[in-house]
Amino acid sequence: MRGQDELSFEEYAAVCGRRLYRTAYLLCGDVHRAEDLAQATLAKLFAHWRRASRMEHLDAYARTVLTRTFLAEQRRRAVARRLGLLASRPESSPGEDTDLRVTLMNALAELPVRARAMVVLRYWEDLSVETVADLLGCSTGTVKSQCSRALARLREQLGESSPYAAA
Amino acid sequence: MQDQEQVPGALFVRGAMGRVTDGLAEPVGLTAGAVRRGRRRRLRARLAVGGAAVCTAALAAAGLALLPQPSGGGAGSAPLQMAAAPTASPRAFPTTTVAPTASPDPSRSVPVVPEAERLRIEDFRQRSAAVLQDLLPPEVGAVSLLSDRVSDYLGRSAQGDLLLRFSVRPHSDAGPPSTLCADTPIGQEVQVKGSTCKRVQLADGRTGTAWTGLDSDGRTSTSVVFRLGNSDVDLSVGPYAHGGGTPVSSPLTVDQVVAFAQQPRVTALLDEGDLHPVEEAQVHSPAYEE
Repeated sequence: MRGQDELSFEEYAAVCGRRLYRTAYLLCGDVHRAEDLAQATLAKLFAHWRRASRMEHLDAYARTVLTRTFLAEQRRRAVARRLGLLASRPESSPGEDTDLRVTLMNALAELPVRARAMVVLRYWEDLSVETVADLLGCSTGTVKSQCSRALARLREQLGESSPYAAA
Repeated sequence: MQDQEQVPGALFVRGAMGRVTDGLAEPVGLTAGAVRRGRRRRLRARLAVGGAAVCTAALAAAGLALLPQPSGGGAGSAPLQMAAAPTASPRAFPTTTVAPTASPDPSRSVPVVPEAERLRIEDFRQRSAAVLQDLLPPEVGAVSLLSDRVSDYLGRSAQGDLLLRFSVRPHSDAGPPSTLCADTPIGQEVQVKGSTCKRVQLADGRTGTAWTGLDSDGRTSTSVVFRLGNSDVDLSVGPYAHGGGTPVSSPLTVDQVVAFAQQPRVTALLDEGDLHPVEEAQVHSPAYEE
């Protein structure tokens, strides 16, 4: 891939890279892993750019790749952790620790991996219940119940300590 | 659309997420790094495809070299032998054709698979065979690709023949029905017509169904099926009765099959098969080879 194709990829990555990075950060809670996830997602798009760039819903495809890359990485980490190959280390923050950031990321971290992905896709990416269910391979009922429970917990935790609760 | 009663909560959480991620610094070199990694991915994919093609050609050449010469070639020309898989890396697992499809329906057209796609699928199958050979116990024997179905492999040992299924195919609502185990507690075994199923929890929290089946001759097969992304996964080991050899029981317990399903090399291949399918949805995949 040379010339025009590469330019069009770079234009796309420049526009959408930051959005993917933000979503990745909400999914994993670590800036370094988020950067790696966003970069891995873009690399996968680049590898098949001719085909990918002709897609009608390229952003949705990128989001799908990101989510699956995240879930696959979580699976590998879970296995590695069980085998003692991966030491748990503190998540790295983007710098200044605001109360809101700490509270939100702690609250998200308490959710099971797939529930966390559901919350991020549903409330941050504003995807429909059906789309989230399709993307994660579960029923719409599961998405609704998990999101409802998670939302209540998030509101409760954010509401208790965040000055933004009244927002 | 959000449920009406959840709208304020959803807006509140989205607002919090927005404010938190607004504080993230711009990632430096994201695009350049992605281009570098993307180039490496493409190169690896091409090398793998090229390697598979070279191996296939080498096997074909080796097979030709072992054919008896038509002119006699002097006294004591060697009898025809089966071409052994090369032992040097990269490994190439042979394809076994044991049961030609009986009287194919002439009205059913076989889809023409482009050469690049055929090579991609062949590469995926070679890597799947390598994973089966490396991660399953040695009792499984020598692994080869079965030509009849993309997801099927043969494990042949002195004890007998095993069918190894490594299937990740696009999900279809017309796929297998939900089982009696679908709503049972994790780990609780349910007897179904001589077979036993139980729900199992995988490392990432998703659930699957593990089966121990018995055929009419009392031989066991073990398997695990679960949903992955947009695909249905079926990993199973059982007796293989069509190869002319002796079909034998699976040497693996269901827990060993479940553990196999969670190996990083396996999950990486399954993820790849989910993102870039090598099988067709729902129907038994037609052999992509002539």
